[in-house]
Amino acid sequence: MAGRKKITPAPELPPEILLFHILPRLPAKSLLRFKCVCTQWRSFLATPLFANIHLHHATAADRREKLVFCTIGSTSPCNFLIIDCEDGLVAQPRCCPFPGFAAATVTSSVNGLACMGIWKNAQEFSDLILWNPLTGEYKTLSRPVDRKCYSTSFTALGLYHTRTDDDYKILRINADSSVYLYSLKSDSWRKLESELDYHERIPYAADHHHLLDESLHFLMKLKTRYLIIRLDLKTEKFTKIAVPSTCPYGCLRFVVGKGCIQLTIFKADLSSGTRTIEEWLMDGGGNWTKVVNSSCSIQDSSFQGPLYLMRNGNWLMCTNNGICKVDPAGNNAKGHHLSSTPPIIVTYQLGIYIETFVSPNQYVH
Amino acid sequence: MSKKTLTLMSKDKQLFNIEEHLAVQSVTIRNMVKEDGASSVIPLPRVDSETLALVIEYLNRQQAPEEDEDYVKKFVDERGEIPTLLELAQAALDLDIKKLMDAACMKVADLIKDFTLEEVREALRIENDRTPEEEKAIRDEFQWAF
Repeated sequence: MAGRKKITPAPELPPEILLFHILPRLPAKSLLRFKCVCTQWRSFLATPLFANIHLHHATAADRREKLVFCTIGSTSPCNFLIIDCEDGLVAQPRCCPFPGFAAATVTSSVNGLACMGIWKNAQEFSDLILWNPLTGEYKTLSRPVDRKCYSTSFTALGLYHTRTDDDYKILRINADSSVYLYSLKSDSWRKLESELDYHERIPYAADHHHLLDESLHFLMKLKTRYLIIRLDLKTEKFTKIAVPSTCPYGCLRFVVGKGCIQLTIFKADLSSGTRTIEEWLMDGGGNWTKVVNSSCSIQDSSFQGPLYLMRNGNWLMCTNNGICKVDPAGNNAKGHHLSSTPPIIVTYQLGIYIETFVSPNQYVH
Repeated sequence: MSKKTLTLMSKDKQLFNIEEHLAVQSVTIRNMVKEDGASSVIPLPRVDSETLALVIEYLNRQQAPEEDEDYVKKFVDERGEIPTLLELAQAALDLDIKKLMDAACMKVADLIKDFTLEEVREALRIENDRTPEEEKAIRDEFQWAF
């Protein structure tokens, strides 16, 4: 660091104020360095208690999220890229400690844990792994009896946390509409009864899922339309929610913001050179209101994939030339260029996560 | 009718008067008032007079509720010295004044987040009991964070 600061030493205070109130408010990156400060900090930072207090602060309203994804075809174990969702900057690649990294997919992520699918071949995962990209800790999940659960083709695969019983769970809806639930606490899978039946669904089309009001929401892509399915975690019942507009495959993103479901629809018409962005909000009754509708000309035909809805309302997009941000209400079609990244990012393999010290091995005694 | 006043006493036996309806923003004081009416002096044996003066200044603020967040931020920003902020955070913790404690702790975290390890130890009076080998092992494991 340039220039040595003039430091007045701290007063003698009980250690709790530092351990329980100051450390949990520090960014994860500083905390990794501060493990070296003293033995007491090193041990305290490794406890589940600290992970929980830090998580509480890290998931506050002004949390800073990151995107994690793997660069395809890399032969180095350091093939996981991390993008800061608010400034679009790409951090140094992370190495993953588990075997099979060369063909791993981020399937889902919550509270700083990413659920990684390790490809055995094009049809099947050999393993699912819960990985904390910050600390490097990981756990290989127990394999389900029904091998369909490790098929690479699925309708939904979502990792989420339940507060009531403090457990990490994975909901898996298979291509044949059978539903399974994995619990990290018991490290086991169980089958859920459901009346889901979606034969017209498009395989390989899992999207991000969101937890809202004790329900898990998935966006499902059918051949001719989209649908949101909602699983009430208490009753384990599914409901279907219709989506306001039809659009081609891959143009729709759904997020939870300010306590409600928001859909953003991106349409590019290359023949007329225009792109439109529509934003819709859903109320508790499943009714949709359009809040933004903008259209502008596209100067070039470069690929643009929406990655993340930023806190300021802009979309982080990936293009052939790197990462840019686009204001849905503005008229800058190309967007504001933020950083250069590998030219092609497979957007459905992205995980959105926050940096935490949550351990995938916290329930192992 | 005149407003009821409470007297708070610091560690170094200085007395501070404050109107009761303002003092009860502190959950600790509120509970004491509820229990025994707190007619006498309330001793605060862990808070020195300089810090207590700051706490009183904060409790006496006349902000509209919607400007309160900004006020608290500015209040701790203006006292940017780590020792003062730590004392303030400790006092706010003891007195259970959540907003002030949150803001003071956040400010300390902001100030130290880019410190070197030596600077952290010096600022927070922590003795380095780790060997260079242990430090090197962490540096090697989390190269990207250093």
